[in-house]
Amino acid sequence: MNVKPSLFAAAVAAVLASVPAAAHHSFASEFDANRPVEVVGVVKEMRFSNPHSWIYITVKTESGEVQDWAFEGAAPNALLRRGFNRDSLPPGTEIRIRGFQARDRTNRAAGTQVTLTKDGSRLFVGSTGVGTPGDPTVEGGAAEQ
Amino acid sequence: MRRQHSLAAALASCVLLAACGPAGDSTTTASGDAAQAASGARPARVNGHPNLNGVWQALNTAYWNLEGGAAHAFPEQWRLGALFAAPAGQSVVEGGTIPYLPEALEQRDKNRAAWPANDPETKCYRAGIPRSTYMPYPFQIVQGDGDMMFVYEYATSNRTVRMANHLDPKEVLVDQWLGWSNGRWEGDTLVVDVFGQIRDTWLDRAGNHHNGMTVEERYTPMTENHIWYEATITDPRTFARPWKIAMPLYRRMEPNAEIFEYKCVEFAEPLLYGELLKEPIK
Amino acid sequence: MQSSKRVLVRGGLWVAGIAVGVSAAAQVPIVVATTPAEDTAAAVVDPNWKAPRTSWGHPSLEGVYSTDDMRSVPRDRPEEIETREKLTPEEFAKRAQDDANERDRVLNTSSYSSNSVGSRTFGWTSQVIDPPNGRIPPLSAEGEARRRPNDRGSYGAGPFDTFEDFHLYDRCITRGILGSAFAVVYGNGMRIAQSPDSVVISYEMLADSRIIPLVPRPHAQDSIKQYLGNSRGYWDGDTLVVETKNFNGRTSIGGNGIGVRHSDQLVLTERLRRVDPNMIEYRATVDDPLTYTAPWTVRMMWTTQPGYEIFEYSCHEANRAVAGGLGGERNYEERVREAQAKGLPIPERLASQPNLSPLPTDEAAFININREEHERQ
Repeated sequence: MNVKPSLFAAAVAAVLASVPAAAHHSFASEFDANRPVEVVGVVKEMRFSNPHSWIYITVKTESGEVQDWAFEGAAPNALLRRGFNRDSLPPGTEIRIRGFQARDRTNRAAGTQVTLTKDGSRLFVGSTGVGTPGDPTVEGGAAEQ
Repeated sequence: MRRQHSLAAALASCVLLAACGPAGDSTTTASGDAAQAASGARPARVNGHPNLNGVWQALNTAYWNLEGGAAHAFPEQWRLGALFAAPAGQSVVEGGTIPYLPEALEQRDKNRAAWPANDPETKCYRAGIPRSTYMPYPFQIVQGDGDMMFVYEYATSNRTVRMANHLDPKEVLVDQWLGWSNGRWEGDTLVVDVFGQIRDTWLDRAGNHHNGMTVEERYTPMTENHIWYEATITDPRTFARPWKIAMPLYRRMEPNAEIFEYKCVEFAEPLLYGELLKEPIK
Repeated sequence: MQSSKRVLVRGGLWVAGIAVGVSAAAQVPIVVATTPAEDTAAAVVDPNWKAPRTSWGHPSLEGVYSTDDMRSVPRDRPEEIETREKLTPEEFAKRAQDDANERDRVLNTSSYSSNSVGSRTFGWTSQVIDPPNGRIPPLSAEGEARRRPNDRGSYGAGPFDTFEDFHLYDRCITRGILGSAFAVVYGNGMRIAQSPDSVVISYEMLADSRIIPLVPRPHAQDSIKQYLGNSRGYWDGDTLVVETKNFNGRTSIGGNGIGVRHSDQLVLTERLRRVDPNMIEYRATVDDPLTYTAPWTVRMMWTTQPGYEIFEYSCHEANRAVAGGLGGERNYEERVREAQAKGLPIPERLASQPNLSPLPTDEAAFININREEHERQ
């Protein structure tokens, strides 16, 4: 069923007006929209958990240092519906991942787009409905990064 | 939907339940059961099975250490004096000790050395199965005709035991702190298969742990007010072979017994977040 | 052009009512409702319909439900509708179309949405049915006085100095009884199990649960105050009536349990009645003169959704919201001190409150971790 984007927006606004659009906690209290980050690393583990899933990656920097990073993803229900399962990002998978760094400047970020090195396929891991910049489920938000 | 017991099984089960009178008879009518429920009496059977409904609690030291041992203090907790030391207790492990693989034993020792800060219980994390059963808090079994629920006072944790529409363990997509539970009756024993449990749960306060175990629990009524609880733990990554724990569970006999809230997240917050406060708690 | 690769999940397990085994090609057919769902309930269609019984003779409430079908029913009735409880046919047709559009977006087009969707359209003008205008009465003076700036928790402006600057949901403690029932964007599931002496309601979010003893004895002693109070239930014909007291006054009544806290004198009376094999009518009356100027009643239908699977939303164990918010605030204070010491301008605090700033459009805007750019800025 093809519906014009403007109708989508109106429909979304009408539905959302009657229901709190807020998910567990807000993006902005924990992450910084002014710190978009990206990194290439190797998946150590993907953890399905509530309220958010986590992707733990090992990163090699240009100076040869090894850093551990954790990228937050959506809750399992949302990821599973997007086609994720436990085998989607097995340990050892090399990925490029983008996100927004934590406000406390630790090695954590709110993940958005994941690109697999081996075949270029993309997975969106981001949480929606928490105020992430460019939330693709809200009008004006981009589906791609 | 009543199960047809053989005469021998019916006699055996009613002796076990000390209810060999009309009330314990599996031919009680639905209206009879309803009348009993209305009068406050507890029917001996629910939908043909032993009635496990009630508030239950273990009364041993398993929550300190499944393998038991002598009474001992924790030197860093000296300010709590005699309030906080582990009492002596017997092992609830069949054979006495847990058959660890060497590497896993090292991990247990590391867990012990870093206790209590690293114990999931300290942080008010869910205790998993079987630890939830023998925590020093009561739990309630809610058993009707369909899926059963176990509600644990500790951290208001709860789980559903599916009596129908069993999950295939291979289909589990997300591990859970209390795992996933398929239940069935073997005679008068409730058998629960627990799988898909998150690897971070511990088995007690002594650092006993696992790396992805499956558990087979057995709840067998001993008397109307006692259940014999067994749990067999299988985890080839951690233990050399499956091993078993067993203990009685006691019904809380107060006429107004009920479980309350032990929503302990707020008790753990100073520990978890204390250093990050504007006025740090150190 | 993105090639959104969907991974086929083994077994096609249904998750939250959505077929996860759907490949990129298959679309979920969307139906636009033509009859208000409340009119299709078995008890409405056939006045002689009776709820099935448990083996011991109680009406059966058991099952897994959600309030997903309530997502398009506003809690408070638009003022212009006054005392009318049902939508006109034109209003219903519009809501049914809006529901279909949202479901199509979430299930077929978006591929990113975390939202949960229902499968029916109800024709009620509001969830609140008493007072007759369908709107929650104003707060009393005491209720107003209880407002706090940090009632909005992590969605507010902070500052985030201590864990109590976050609300109970941020902290993964509870959403309260009604906060656990009001439909929000996802996680609206609940499970009811029952025995001859108890009913237990377990809520999907936070895996919260409460036991309702069916035995005729008084509530627990006054000094036992709890987040979800202390409940006593009894059967009134086919309706389960639950009276709950002993609240600790730390919860709020609203979506996700966010808002002004009610008092510890709240008496909550709930009524649950099965009206259809797939529907439980749920009413809750809020009586708290220390918070509201009048008692009020909300009505929802708890409905089944095909294949709805409740996952354990254990929350606290993986919660980073409080630590992240507190740590972020301390980091900001540190950067302010540094700026002041160097005579530099004070950095901006919360980058995107209120929500949604635009995506960076320039590739160069991304801080590259491999090149250690995060350490130099």
